[in-house]
Amino acid sequence: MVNWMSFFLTTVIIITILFFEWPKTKKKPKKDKSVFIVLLVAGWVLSIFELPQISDPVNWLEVLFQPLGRFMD
Amino acid sequence: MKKLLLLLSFSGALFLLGGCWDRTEINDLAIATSAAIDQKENDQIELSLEIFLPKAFGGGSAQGGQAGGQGITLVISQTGSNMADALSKLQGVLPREIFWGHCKTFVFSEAVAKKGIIDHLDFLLRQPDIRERAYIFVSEKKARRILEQKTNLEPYTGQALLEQTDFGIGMRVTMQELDEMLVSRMQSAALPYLKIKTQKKSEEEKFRFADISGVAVFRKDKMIGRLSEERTRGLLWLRDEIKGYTVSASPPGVNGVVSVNPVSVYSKMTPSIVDGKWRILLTIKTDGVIVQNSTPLDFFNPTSLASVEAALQDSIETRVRESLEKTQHQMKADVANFAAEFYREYPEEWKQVENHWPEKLSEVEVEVDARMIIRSQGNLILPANEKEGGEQW
Amino acid sequence: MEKGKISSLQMAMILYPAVVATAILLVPSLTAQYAKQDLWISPMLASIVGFVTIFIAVRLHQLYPGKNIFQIIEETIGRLPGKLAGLLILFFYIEITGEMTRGYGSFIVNTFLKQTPLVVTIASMVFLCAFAVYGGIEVLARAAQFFFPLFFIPFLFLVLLLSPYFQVHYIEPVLADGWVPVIKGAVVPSGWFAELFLIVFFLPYLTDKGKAMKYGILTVAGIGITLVTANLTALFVLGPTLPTKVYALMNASHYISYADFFENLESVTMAIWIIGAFVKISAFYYVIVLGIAQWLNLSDYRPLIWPIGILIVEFGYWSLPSSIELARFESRIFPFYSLLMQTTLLIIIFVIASVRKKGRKKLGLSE
Repeated sequence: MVNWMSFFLTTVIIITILFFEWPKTKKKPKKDKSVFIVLLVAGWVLSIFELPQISDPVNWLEVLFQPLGRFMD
Repeated sequence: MKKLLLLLSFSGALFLLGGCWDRTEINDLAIATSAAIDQKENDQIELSLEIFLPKAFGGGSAQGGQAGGQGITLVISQTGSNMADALSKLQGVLPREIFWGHCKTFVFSEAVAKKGIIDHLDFLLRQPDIRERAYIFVSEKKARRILEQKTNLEPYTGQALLEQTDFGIGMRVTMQELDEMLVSRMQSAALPYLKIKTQKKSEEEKFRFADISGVAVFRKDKMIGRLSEERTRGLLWLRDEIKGYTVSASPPGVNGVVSVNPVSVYSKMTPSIVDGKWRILLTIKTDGVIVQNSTPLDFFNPTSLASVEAALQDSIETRVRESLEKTQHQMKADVANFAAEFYREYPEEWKQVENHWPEKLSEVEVEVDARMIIRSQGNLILPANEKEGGEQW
Repeated sequence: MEKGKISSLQMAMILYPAVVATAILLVPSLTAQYAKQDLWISPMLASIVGFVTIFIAVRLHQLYPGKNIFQIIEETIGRLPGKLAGLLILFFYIEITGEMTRGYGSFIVNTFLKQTPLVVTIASMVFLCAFAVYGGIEVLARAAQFFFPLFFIPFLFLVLLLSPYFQVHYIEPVLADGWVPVIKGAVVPSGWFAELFLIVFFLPYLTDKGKAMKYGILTVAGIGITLVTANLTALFVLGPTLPTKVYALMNASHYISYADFFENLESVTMAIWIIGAFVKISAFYYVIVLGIAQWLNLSDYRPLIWPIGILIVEFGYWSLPSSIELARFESRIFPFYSLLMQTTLLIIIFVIASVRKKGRKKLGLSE
């Protein structure tokens, strides 16, 4: 279930982003910096998985919308 | 330095703008101009493609089309379990990628048509690059033979069929229309029917060509019979596709016939349900131009004009009646799409007969009201063979 | 944080393609699956959602002038529930922006660039939009202003060129199966109308706040008319085959042929789609990064653009193995999800806010 190709590519992209953005972001308040890092890490972690095959939070919501979805059938 | 970087990044974009993955050079394409589908044993089908030969065409007009017996197209075929399979095999033997954008004629053989065409149509409609405007035909014998016919005026058969159809000979059905016929309430379809005809070119040489003759009638997606060319005309009046033909009639009590070319046709169906009786009133209004007159009638005389018009109206009515007689009662196929008319006006009543429409169809009474108005009589005022009353010079 | 200012007209020009761009291609056949020949009534019903959304958003902004939506939510329902609601909104936006880019990419790959990897089409679009977002609201507005005629005129052109092929009789009988199918058909486009929620993010940056309501309502009307036109065009050309198509207008544009050579105009449809998708994705992208920055009280949203770009691409893939799954999401989940997260939430906030304001006035308290 691990997609090494996307993980590798995302890593390259993230390094590129860090290279260009970090000098600018460094001057910002601590909160800004931490959000920046957290979002990058989130994207990085997600890239490991075979995303199309695993269910996402919306699939959990599907249970909620099921009666409404049935109305549409 | 900064300018140089900017320039570099802009020129870098040039490489991306071409769309690297999907670039297709014209010399990498095999342009299909028409396709034919034949039935084989064991539920196999044969897909034949007429491929355009760029070299033959590149030779210039000096060669004059079909010169040297070498056509500008090539017909190749492969057998497969369905369209997709046969096509992949075809692609396998071709060095170039098959391009569908110019494929404007599809021919199904009668054998395929009788087994049902919906599966093949599914393939054709699913491909984004196959044209919905392509014309569909049914051929009497092997469909491949239609593509192989030599043509005289047009460079290749596909083009010839296309031009003939556009000109208004026979019925004109595009893939989109066929799809509409098959999914709509009429549950029937009609497609132009092709025959290979022979004509003598000289004493020894015979010339064979594909000719549109009548229509193949479908119920659901299966061909159940066909209408002769004469009968088809009645159908063409209803579809306003009659312009390639002329109507002739002889007024009562006069020798000879008057032939009229329909210039514009307006036809309308008015459904009505009275006391549980389903009726359709067909109103056909035609504007015509006289193209030949072998009667002694002088059209400056309003009564003779009226009598010619009346005779023509009768002739149209008979035509329409005859073709409906066959399709509506014998074949139980709703080729004129009465279903849509009834559904439009009487949705409630329609729902009750929906499931046994072919049976109900034969109970529908049809009334034809044809009107013919002669707009012009061509370049002659008096008939050329004027016999009575004319002064001799 | 955002120092740019835009006019109400520019806002309308962002909102219009932001809703219409994907709708004109997908809505006709999705609506036709339920409403059949009555599909033109459905967008009219659905536009009620749009009017409600715009009306409440503008009124809410008038109640709390100068405040952004997250501040308003926190003030009305409390700090912690407010933060949570904010998170849900932002998550929803990242999610549907991912879905949107995937829809854009799938369309391009399915119909035109068949050999191109999907990720290339998606990533290049996100990359482009990221630059637009980097420029801020003014750049976004100017881009939208520039692209608006390029989006709108070809669409009109397409309808005009198709008009000789119209078979107007397909529209009859009207309401043969009653209102239920029409209402079902309206559910799908109402999900798109709910996207007008975006207006709450633009309202604080308007130079002419007085005209916001007027242009908002005009936008809804414009979207409604466009969708009715698109639906009718598809119906008149494709007739009963309409519900079987994926991209109905695309199939319809195949049908244009004049004088045997002026044909194959599907590239016009593609151009409309790409231009619209660019404005749409940029608008949503901007709202996401601006929203996160407002939600967490950051000093700037620009550092968030690239990390969010990665997330958008990933959400475009998440649990969507195929474009079939995407289409299912679009008709079965998206309308309800979109209505819940946008219009419904807005109504709840508005009701609480107006009750509170009234209560405060009664007690004679000031803020």
